[in-house]
Amino acid sequence: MSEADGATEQIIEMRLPSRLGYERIAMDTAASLARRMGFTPERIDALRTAIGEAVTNAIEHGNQADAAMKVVVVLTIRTDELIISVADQGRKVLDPAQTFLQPRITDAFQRADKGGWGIWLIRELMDEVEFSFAPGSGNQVRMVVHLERPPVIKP
Amino acid sequence: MQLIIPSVLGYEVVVRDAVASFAQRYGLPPDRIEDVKTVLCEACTNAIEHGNGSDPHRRVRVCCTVDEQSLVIAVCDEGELPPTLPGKPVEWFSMPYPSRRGLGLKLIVALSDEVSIAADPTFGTCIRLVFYRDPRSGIHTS
Amino acid sequence: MLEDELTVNIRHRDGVAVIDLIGDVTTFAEEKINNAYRQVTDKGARYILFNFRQNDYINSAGIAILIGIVTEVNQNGQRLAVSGLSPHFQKIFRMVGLAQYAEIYQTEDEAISAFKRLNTIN
Repeated sequence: MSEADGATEQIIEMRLPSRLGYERIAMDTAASLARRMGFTPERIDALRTAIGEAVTNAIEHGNQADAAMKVVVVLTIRTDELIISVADQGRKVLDPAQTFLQPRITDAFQRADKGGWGIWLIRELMDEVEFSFAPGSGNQVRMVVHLERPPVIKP
Repeated sequence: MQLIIPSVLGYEVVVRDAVASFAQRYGLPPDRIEDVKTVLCEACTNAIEHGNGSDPHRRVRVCCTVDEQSLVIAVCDEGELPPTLPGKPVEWFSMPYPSRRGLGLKLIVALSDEVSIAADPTFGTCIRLVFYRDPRSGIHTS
Repeated sequence: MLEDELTVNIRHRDGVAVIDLIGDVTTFAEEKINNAYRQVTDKGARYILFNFRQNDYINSAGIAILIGIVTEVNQNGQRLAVSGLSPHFQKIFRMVGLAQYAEIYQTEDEAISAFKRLNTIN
């Protein structure tokens, strides 16, 4: 994929209705792009899972599964990284403290609610993660995957 | 759902995979999904190259909607010159040396259940592609 | 119209209750997976294998369902194993800690062989 004159980044934008199932389309789209960019299969799987979790959260929590509300995914393509931003319309605000939890399976055994792994998975799988909230728009998570090029062997 | 890409060749593959994912979840059979992928690639390539003149600052917008009967995909570019569509059934050998664009349009018309082109007030020119959920239903225009 | 479909099959092989999970494992899978586990447990299953097929999507809701199963497996003194997971999801299972409670095998045959060895030891 060649760079345009003077442009150092290019952008793909997706707007999805807030219905569970649509996260699969965001996942497949991001994976297709990552394949074109030359990411390794392992990194592609990782970003697929991370974007799946982010979009699912946006659908279920941020937009309260209201199909009329949108999840906006922006994929920013740079030469050495892919930035994935997922934003909802903020019907329910994500508590920032929730984004730093470290769930443990032994704790989960004791609790009725076995969940809470999504955000933790995003942090574990992505190179950079930032959660924010913009009044007037909604919750946003910004994830970055670095594109590691294989070392060039010089003669 | 909606997808917007820059007019740079290569990105049509991403649109193809996004719409294929959508078609699969809609329940189109696998061989029909292959048709959707071919049609989307051709339509997006046309939009990038011809509609938008491969200008990376122009965008291609793809919208997908579904209802009980069909999957409808609109591929819009920011250009103003809509192509002439061949009629169904497609004649493959009417020109001695068909242009690449002509061939692309023939493929689109041959593989889609319905095709139309219209000017879009907010964007530019859109080609509208319809795929029936049940391939036996619907009326094929001749 | 865009919801995930998981198909669940129950088979018995060499004293192991094999539960095939075919498709995606997300929140929509909860009832089917729990029902299958309950069904084999009610019939006295001691060794259970979750055999993943045609799977390229397990999300955190799916992980929570499996943790729920593991909770009951631990309480009931059963042994649980999983097979058919892609390398990526094997990694996720290890990260979450599920691998300590459910042995991961590449294939169903490997899992069954391992269970058979356990059975002869006991």
